[in-house]
Amino acid sequence: MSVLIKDVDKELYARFKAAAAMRGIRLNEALCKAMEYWLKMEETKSQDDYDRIINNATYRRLFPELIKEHEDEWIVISKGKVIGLFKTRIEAIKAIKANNLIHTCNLVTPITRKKRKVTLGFGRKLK
Amino acid sequence: MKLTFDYKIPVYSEIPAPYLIIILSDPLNIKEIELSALIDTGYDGELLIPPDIYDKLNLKAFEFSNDVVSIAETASGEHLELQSASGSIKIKGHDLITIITIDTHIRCKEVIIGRKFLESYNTLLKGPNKQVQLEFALN
Repeated sequence: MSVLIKDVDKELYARFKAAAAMRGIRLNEALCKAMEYWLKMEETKSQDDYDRIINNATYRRLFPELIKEHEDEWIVISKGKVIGLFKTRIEAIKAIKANNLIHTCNLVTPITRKKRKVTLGFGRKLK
Repeated sequence: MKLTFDYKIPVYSEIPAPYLIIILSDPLNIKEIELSALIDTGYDGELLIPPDIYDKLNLKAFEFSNDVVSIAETASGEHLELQSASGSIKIKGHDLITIITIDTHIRCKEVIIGRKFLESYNTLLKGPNKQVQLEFALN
């Protein structure tokens, strides 16, 4: 079958086309391989990955309101739902047990504008 | 109180280096693991662990938002995306349990103790004896 696809990134397409040509593969074959590969990648994403995405999306959506009245407090989010707001980290951690969320991927995170900056040593090899 | 630990050979070096023996667990202390942790003052966080240990301790239940966790930077300018969570730690031979922020990265192969953790202790490297001595600073 033939497919017309609009709004494809010009540079990405050029790189893809060049890579296929270099390997002597026709563009349609390379595209089918790429689609198969992408589908496999998506299928191997775990429930935890999805929970992580949805929890972070919830945090981001609520952040403008949260930061006004709850800065430096802690929030617990599970499956995209707010479990509660807490004054301390310990209280937030205890909420995980109290709500029987020990086996799910949750956010137990401070409400802050500060982003942690971490430095790893020179030459730190994370191979 | 002073504790002494022997140097060990790190994963990525042939030269013995200072290590602490730590008991690491999730912040509710449901599951714990005893580990050797390399002291690395080039890392300014508290504890960096390989992802398999992160998974064993089920730290996914206590994660920080991606907006709070940083992109770590190496001194050579490489940027690495970290996943962080709360956990608890105690030094072997001492009962004090501390809640800390634990970082992990997919390419991390070694448990690393950083400067932020060491801020609470006097750490003495006894190079000739190949030992590290940790003294608990009483506040």
